[in-house]
Amino acid sequence: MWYFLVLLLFYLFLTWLSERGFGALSTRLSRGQATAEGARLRRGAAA
Amino acid sequence: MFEFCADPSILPDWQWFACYLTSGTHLAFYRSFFVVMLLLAIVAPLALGMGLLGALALRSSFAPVNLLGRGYVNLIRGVPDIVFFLFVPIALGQGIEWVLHQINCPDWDQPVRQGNDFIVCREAKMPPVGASAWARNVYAFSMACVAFALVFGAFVANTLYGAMRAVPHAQVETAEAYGMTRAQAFRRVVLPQMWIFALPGLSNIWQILIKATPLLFLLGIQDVVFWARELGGAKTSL
Amino acid sequence: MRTCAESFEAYFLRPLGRAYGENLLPRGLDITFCDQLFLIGGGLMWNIYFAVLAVGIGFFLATGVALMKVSENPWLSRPAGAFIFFFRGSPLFIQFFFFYSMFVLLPRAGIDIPLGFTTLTVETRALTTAQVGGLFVLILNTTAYSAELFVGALRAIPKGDLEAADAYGLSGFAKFRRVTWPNMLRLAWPSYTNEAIFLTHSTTLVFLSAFPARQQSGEAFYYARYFVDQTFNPFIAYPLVAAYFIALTLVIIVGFGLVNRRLNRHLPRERRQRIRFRPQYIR
Repeated sequence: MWYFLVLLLFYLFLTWLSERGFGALSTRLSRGQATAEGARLRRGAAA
Repeated sequence: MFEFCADPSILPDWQWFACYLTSGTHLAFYRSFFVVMLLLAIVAPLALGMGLLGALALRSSFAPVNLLGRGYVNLIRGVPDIVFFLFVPIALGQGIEWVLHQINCPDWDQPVRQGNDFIVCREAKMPPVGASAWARNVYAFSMACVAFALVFGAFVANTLYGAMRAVPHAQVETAEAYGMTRAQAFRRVVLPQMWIFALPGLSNIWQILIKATPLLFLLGIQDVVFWARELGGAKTSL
Repeated sequence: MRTCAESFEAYFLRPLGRAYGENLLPRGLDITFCDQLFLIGGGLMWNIYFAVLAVGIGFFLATGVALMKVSENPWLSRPAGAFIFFFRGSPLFIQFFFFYSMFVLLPRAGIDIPLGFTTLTVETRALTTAQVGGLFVLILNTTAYSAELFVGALRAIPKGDLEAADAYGLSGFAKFRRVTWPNMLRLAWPSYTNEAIFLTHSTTLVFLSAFPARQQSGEAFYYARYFVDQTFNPFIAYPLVAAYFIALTLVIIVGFGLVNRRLNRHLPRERRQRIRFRPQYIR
C-alpha cells in the first residue's frame, strides 16, 4: 500500500508542478498579445 | 548499500530502514521514476511534432492531405482510450515484422497467420533473435513511445488547429498587405502567436499525458507500477 | 466448432460467473468470431453496471462536494478542494492499485465500531471485489471530476436569477432547489455529458490491474485482452470492443441530450446549450 501511496503523491506532485509551470508560461506568452491578459500585463508594466 | 547492513539482526530501527530502503529492488524502483520522466521527455516533443504535422494537414487545401489529417485525428479521438495503447504496439510490432518478412524472405510460401500463430521467417523477427534483454527493453519502450506519440499527436493536432484559427485574421491580412507570401505570413505571424491560444488545451493534454504514463506497465515495461507491485507484494493476475 | 447460437448460449451470460455458462472460456484454436462477439458483448453489462451506479451515486455526492467547495467557510471548502485535487490530480489507474492494496489490508472479519449502546460491524470483505471496491473508487473519482464541473457552473449562474429568487422571497433550501440547482445543472450539463462518457470508458480500467476478476468474470475489455492474448491477433477483438463502446457512447449522448432539452426548455432556442462530444481519454 505504501508504495502506491508514494506513486499517488508522485503524480500529485507532478500535476501540481506542471500546473504552476503552465501558469508561468501562460503569463510569459501573454506579453504583447492583443488579449485581455496581455492588456493587463501592459498596464502593469506602465504603472 | 551501507556496510552495517551486513548483519541486519542487530541493527537499530533507523539503520534497518536505511538498509531496507536501499535494497536492490528498491533501487530499481527509484530508477523506474526516471523511466517515467524519460517517457514524458521523449513523448512530449514527438507528440508536439505529430500534432503540428496533423494541424498543417488539417489546414491544407490539398484534398488527399486534408483527408489524411482528418482521418488520423478523428479515428484516434473516436476510439475509446486504452484500446489504442494496447492495440498500437501489437499491431505496429506485427506490421514491422510483416514488412521485414516481405523484404527479407520473398520466397517464403506459407501464410503469415497460421491459426493462432503469427509466423515470420527468422530474419524478420523484431527484436532480432538473440538480442540482449536490454535491447528488448529498449525496443518495447520505443514501441510505447510511438503509441503515446500517435495518440497524443492527434489530441495536439486538434488543439493546434483550433489555435491557428484563433489568431485574429486581421493580422494575417496585414502581413499579406506588407507583401509576405502565405508561407511567410504563417511562419512569422500565425506560428508565433498561436501558442497563447493553444496553451490551455496543451496544458490539459499534458495533464492527461502524465496520467497516462502508468499504462506503460501494461505494455510490459518495468516502470513504477511494476516495481511498486513487486515490492508491495499484492500480486493479482495481469 | 460451435455454431453462433451455441456460443451465444455458452458465453453471453458467462461474465456473471461460472454458473451462467461454460465453465471455461474458449481457448486457442477453438475461438470463433461469434465467441468473441458474444463474450465481449456480455462483458459490456459490467461496464454498464459500473457506469450507471457510479454516475448515479456520484451525481448526488458531487452536488454536495461542489456546494462545500463554493462555501465561504474554509472548514468546508478546504477539504472539498483537497478531495477534488487528490482525485483529479492522480491517475485512476494508480487509484485502483492504492485502494485495492488498502482494502486487502483491512481485517477480513469486518471492523467493529463501538457506538456505546451497540456495536456496528462494517463489512469489509466485499471491498476487495471489483464489483464493490472498484465501484467505490469509480464513485469517488467521478464525484471529484463532476464536482469540479459543478463548481464552475455554480459560479456562472446568472446573478439576475439569484436576485429574482430573493425578490420572490425564496430562501434557503427552496431557493437552492428551485433556482440554484436547476441553473447549475443546465450550465454544467454539456460538460457533464462528456464526464459520463469518460467514466464509461474508464470502467475498462477496473479489471485491468488491481482488482481480480473472480471466476474470469470481467468486463468487455478484459475479455478483449484475453482473446488477444490467446490468438495474438489484435485486429478482431480490439475493433469489436471499440465498436461496442462507440455504440454505448451514442446511447449516452442521446440520453443526456434528452435531459439537456428538458433542462433548457424555458430558454429561447438560440440561447440553448448544445452538447458537443469532446473526447479526452485517460484519467
